[in-house]
Formats: sequence, C-alpha cells, structure tokens
Amino acid sequence: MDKGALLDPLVVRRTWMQHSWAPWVITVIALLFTAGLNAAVGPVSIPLRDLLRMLAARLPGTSIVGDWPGTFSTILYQIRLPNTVLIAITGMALGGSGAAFQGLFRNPLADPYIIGVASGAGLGAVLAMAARWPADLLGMAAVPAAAFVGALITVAIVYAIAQVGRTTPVTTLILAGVALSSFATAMTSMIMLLSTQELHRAVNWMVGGFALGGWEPVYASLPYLLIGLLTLLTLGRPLNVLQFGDDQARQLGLNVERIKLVIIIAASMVAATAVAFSGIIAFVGLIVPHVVRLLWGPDHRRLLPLAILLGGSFLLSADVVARMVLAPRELPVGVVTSAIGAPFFLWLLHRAKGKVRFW
Amino acid sequence: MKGVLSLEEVEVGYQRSFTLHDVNLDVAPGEVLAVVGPNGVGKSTLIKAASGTLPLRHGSVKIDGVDLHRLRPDDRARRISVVAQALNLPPAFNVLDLVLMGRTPYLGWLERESHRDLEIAWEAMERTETDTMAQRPIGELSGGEQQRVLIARALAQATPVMLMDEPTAHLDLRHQDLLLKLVRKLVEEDHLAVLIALHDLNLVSKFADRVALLSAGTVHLVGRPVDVLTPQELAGVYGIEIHVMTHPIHGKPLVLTGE
Repeated sequence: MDKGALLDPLVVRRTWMQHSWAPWVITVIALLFTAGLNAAVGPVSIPLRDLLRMLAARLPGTSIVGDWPGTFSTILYQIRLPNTVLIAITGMALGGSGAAFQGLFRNPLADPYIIGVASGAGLGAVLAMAARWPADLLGMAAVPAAAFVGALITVAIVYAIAQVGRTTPVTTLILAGVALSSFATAMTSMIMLLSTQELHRAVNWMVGGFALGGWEPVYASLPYLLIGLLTLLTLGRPLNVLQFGDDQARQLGLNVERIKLVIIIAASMVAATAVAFSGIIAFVGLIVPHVVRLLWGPDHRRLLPLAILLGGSFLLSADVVARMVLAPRELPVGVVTSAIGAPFFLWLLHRAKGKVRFW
Repeated sequence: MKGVLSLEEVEVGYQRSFTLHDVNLDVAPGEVLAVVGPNGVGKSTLIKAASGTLPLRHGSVKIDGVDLHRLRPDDRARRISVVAQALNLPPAFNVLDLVLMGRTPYLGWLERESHRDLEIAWEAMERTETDTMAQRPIGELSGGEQQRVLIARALAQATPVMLMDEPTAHLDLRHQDLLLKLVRKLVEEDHLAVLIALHDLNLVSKFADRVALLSAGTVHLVGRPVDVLTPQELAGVYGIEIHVMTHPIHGKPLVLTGE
C-alpha cells in the first residue's frame, strides 16, 4: 500500500489545522478595530472617517488634503495615539505572560496578578519611582528594570513555596500568591504614603490608570516587551511537552529546568514592564488565554501568539468602557478588568472544584 | 546502537526514606525483562532510575557502555524512552500531536516537525493501531487506548531501549493481554530491549523472557519465569502462601494464592 497516499490527506489536514487563518484574521481585525475605536473615543470625539484619513495622510505617497480641524491632529498624535498604543502593548504583554504562566504552572488559574508577580513588580516599580520619579527616558528605563527584579523575586518565592513534591497544586499556588501579593501591596502603599507628592498619580497608577501620557512610556517599554514576547513565542513546543508533567518532559528529552527558567524570566519581564507603565491591571492574563484555549485549543504554538493579540484588543475595549461609563469622568481600566475578571475567576474556581480539567 | 541496558550497583533514595540499593540488571536487545515485587518495593522508582532522569546516589545506568546520567537530555532521550502510566494526561491534545512529541529529542529549539517526523509518528500510530484516532482528543479515549498512544509516542522516539511502568494497570483482562502482545510484537520486530514493571505475575509468566523479583529494596532474584516464580521465593517475598501450577494451555507457570 502506498504510504504517501495515506499520509498526504493527513498532512494537508494537519497543516490546515495549524495554519488555519481564521483565528489570526479574527484576532488581528479585533486588535485593529479596538485600537481605532480606542483612539477615536474621548471628550473630543474624532469621526472615524477623519481618523482613518489622518492616519492615511501620514503614509508616504498619499495626497490627502488636511481639511479636518487642527486640534484633531494634536489630540490624536500627542494624546490619543500614544495612549492607545501603550494600552495595546500592555494588554498584549498581559495576555502573553498569562498564557506562559498558565502553561508553566499547568494551572489555568495562574496569571501575573494572582500569583503575585504583578504586585511584586509594582513594589519594584514604586521603589524606583520613590528614588526618582520618571522624568526622562533614562529615568523611565529604571522603572521597568526595578519592576522586573521585583517580579523575579516574587515568582521565585511563589514557585519555591507552592511546589509540593514535583507538582504545583492550585491551592498552594493561589495561597502563596495571595500572601506575597498582600505583602508587596502593603509595602507599596507604605512607600507611596511616605512620598507625599504625586500621590494622586501614584494611586491612579496602582489601580491601572494610564496616567503618564506621551510617547515616552511606549518607547521605554518597547525593548523589554519585544525581547520578552519574542522569547515566549519560541517556547510553544516545549510548553506543550511540559503539559505532561516534568517527569515525562524529561523523558522526552526536554531540559526542563532550563526551559522553565527561560519561561519565568521572559514572562516576568513582560508582566513587569506592563506593570511599570500601566499599573496593576488584574485578570487580563487570566481571561484572555482561557478564551483562546476554549476557542482554538491547547497548542501553545498558537495559544501564545493568539493570547498576545487578543490581550491587546481586550484591554483596548476595557479602556473604552472605562472612559465611557461615567463620562466625562474616566475610570482606571483596572476597575473594568476586575469587574469582568473577578466573576470569571470565581466561575473557573467553581469548575475546578468539580475536578474538571481545563486543557 | 545495539541497545544493551545495564544497571550497575544502582542506589537511589529520597532523603532518608525508601532506598533501592545494589541493583544490578542487564537487558539485552530483543528481550523483555519484567520487574515484579510487592507494593511499595520500588518498581516505579527502579524504572525512573533506569531512565536516567532520577539522580543516583551510587552506581550507573548505561546503554552500550554510555552513562545516561552524563548525557544531555535530548541525547539521552534518543537512546531510552519511557512509557508512563496513562494518568492525568492533558485531555485536549489530540493523538497525533501527542505522538509527535516523541520527536522532541530530535528537534532544535526553533525547529518545526518535518514531513519525516510526521511519517515516523504516523508509522508508530499504525503499529499501535492508534492511527484511526489521530485527530481525537486524548481525554476522549479509553484507558487502553491512551496506553497504546503512549507506546506510540515512545516508538516515535525511536530508541533502542524502552521502559514501561505498569502499562496494564487499570486495564481489563482482554486489554491487558492485547497490550502485552503488542509489546512482544514490537520487541521482536525492532529488537528492542524492554524493562517493564508489572504487577500481575501471570502476565509476567506469559510475556516476559526474564523476571527480576524485588524485595527489601534490592533485586532478590533474576532469571527465567520458571526459575523465579516458585512457591518458595514468592512466599518469602510476598508473605503469603503461594502455589504454582503449570498453565494447561501454554505450559508456563501459573501463580495462585493459597487458602
């Protein structure tokens, strides 16, 4: 029997499954759409038509005459667009690190917020800010670096405490995360109270308000995010193998300790950067990978990039809601993600009680 | 690679608790060596130690004279594969994806599975009769099917030596028999060296070439089933009265408990 003939339909089907365009098209369109919406909505609402033409006019080789009000341009490029981009990359960072942490802990309840990494990063960031409130690009670079260190220390402690034998059970993971998180948050509050100036801004930052403004936070965070996210994207296959437990992963030839270290460093770096510039935004890293798994399966080679894309659009929409609910007043976006995320988390916990495995 | 597995003076322990000591075993290509013994005597630990992924206190595990503990993980996984017990497998992965993971030691960090890898995985699935379930999630399969999928994954690893940890646990009589017949077939076709932990002495008698009887943390006796599965030896190790008869059909030892 000709083996090639038997095999080929399978190959075709498999490549189709893996390269199926639908999830990619959906997530990319969602990201672009929510970004446009996010940039258009605000106290001065910019019509979508003008927004698109303003962006198009920036492209080389176009000859669109600027017939829109001059203030639109200032609002868009100085205020809205940097903010939109920062929110987008923050959401992408949270979605990506959430997917990586869940895969690492083999636990769908792990996310940067729940395991305490976000609070640890927050403490690091606030320490850096207390020493020198970010004024220029260089000062800003110190904040994510400090946040990264804070995140790494936290994840190391949580990992060491939560591990029972060779596994990491849900309960110990969450308990360790909660304890460390409370400690870090308490320390953060104390530092903030001691340094009285800028308190309002700091509080806003704490609950996830994008309060800094301008392009500097975007430029300062981009290198960390790019390195971290690109690293995570190469870890899809090992993360799949890790789902079978450390023993089987070792027997399949994976250098388990090294891979885990790389995952922890990359995911913490990404989460810490998000925290450093956008504050502590809960539950994005929990919800987004979960939705991706439900829709498109457990393969981390797709899960990671899709969670990154969807994380961006999720946070962009949450931010639109945050700015519209009590307009003209703006809510910090963290309030909105928590309002959606907390019930979702409880629902997951309820399901886990019935010993339903998630993936 | 010929694939002679040898455990020399192996000693393992978790902190101060249970230890295996002075374990000396050889498995030749084309041979099935079964590890038997009472609960908690360390059958699973022995399999783990033999896989080269468990640190040893003393001694060595070698394949054709190469010490497994000195090899890089991927290098080691190209020489020895382990069929784990089918427990707590992540249920949403499909069968083909799982079997393809057997190719892990052959793939670099950024490498994708090639068409060749897919062919190897597919052949392993045909030989274990799991090809018909290629696209099904593992969580939907029965225990016996899951176990065959794990064997397929180990086959895809293309190693000369294969270890198995109680692959017939939780299977009914018919599936126990079918599974071990499959193992025998693979051993004969590929000239594999197989070290297998088993509970059921009558399965051991029927399918193993040699038996290692564990007792008190070490190998009490190694030999052909006929020589090891005797009332005296078994009674001593298991602490229960045992009778051994000759099986009326295949003439191998049939182990029965007394009283």
